[in-house]
Amino acid sequence: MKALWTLVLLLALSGLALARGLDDAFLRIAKVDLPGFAAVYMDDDQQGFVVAVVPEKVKRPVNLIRFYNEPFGAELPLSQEEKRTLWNTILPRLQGATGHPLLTPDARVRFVVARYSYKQLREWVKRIGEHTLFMPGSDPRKIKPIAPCDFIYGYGYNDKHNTITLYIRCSDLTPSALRPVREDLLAKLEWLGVPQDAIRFRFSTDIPANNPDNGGGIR
Amino acid sequence: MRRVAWFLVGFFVLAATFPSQCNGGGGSNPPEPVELTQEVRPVQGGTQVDVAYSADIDTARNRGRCTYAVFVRDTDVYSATYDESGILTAGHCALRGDSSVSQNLSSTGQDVWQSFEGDTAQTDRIVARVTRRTPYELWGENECPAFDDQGNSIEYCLRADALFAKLEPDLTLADAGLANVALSVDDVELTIENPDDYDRYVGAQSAPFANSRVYKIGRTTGKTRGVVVDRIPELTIRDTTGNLYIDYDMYAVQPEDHIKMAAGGDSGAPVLYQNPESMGQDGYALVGIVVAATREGVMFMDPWGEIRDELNITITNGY
Repeated sequence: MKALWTLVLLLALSGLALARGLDDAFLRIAKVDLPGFAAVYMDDDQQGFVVAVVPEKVKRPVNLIRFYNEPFGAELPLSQEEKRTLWNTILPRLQGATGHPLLTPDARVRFVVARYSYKQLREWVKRIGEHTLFMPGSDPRKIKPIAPCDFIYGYGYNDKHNTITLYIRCSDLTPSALRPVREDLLAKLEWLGVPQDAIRFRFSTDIPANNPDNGGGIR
Repeated sequence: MRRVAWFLVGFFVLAATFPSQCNGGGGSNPPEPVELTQEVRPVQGGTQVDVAYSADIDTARNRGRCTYAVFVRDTDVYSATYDESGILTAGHCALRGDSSVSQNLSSTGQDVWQSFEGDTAQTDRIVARVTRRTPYELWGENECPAFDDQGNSIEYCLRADALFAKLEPDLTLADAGLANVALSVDDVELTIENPDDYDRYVGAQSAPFANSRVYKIGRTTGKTRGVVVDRIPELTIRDTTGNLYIDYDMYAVQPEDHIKMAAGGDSGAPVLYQNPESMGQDGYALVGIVVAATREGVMFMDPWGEIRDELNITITNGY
């Protein structure tokens, strides 16, 4: 009887392992012990191989560093020497720990800074949602852009770049017209506690539509 | 000894019959591909459908021209159409301007056409009927914003902008499978990419990953590629009747190559994510449908997970 229960338990565990394996096909995560780093995460998606390194004890603003393959991601403001040192330090350990075939010394790698944690980002997104006006018009309690822009029709976040994007309607999209809009909104959002370097803007001449008659919509 | 012999005979009989029961029974194999002609309807997702604005109006001028995403199946056990198959497209394809917002958002029974080039009669080509719309909240209800102090308004709020239209009784997915247009073609012409391998998409994924490359196939702009740049908790959109509404939990897709990601008529189009080779599967996962776009060509999509939960449907694979 004991053997039977052992068999049942083994079967259940192997089932769990299989299910877990399927999940991990989308997002492979490997924890690696590295001095000075809390964890190393890796995922394998359409664009290529990605490595994220989370320093254990660093001061703001850099608390998350990521290495990206081409072709996406923004550059981390590190010198070539710093990048080389970082990479040469981490690479052998990663190879030893994971044996990932894509992690080769000749891999083209970018360094990306995601300054804020996902949890922090969600908190700011919630705050922006509560304090911003999402319709044309006025409400003195809510944040809205100055002219030539009239309202923020949406806000989004990117949990890989750890940025928040405001989607804004403006009648003039020239850089000189938009500069004061950016500065004004950044100041207002900073007052909410959202740091300026977490914010991105996307300007358009109208809100998204699904009406074919207004020139840009879909139906 | 005799017992052992009988055991072995039984074992080999079972072993011989088991594979044939698994593979041959149940009608789960796809139908044999046949020659695709203009007249075969409905064809696979990514192609045009016309949705009537109202169940009692069927003139050509009162139809919303859209794209439909994929074949789906009703999983609502309390529904009269439980387990029946249909098509998925955007809910606003069935909007009309001359009725109240609530009537507009809840009406069902509208005909869905899929006609072919040169088909002037069109009424012969009703392929489905609108069966279920995604739930909505009118302004002021729960968390749907009310009027502001200048009278500007969000009229309603949705978690997903989609509808399920059940296939007409004389149509089955086997019929549809005969006209399976491969989802990976570079345009939307009526061709089979590979007749020997036409079960091209392998399923669905609740939502796209940040920064993942996706593509959509719509009746207006065909196949366009882009990158998922943001998850958007709230987005204000203008609908076909001029009303503003909020769609919760959407995704923004930035087009590649400076082209527009989508345009009028692409609503309801499937947004697909190509499975990476590491998954060991050659195929495509549905991650959502096209809902709206800006003039600059940024596309906004509702994720499949929201659509699935709001409509109580599941994807029907490949054929």
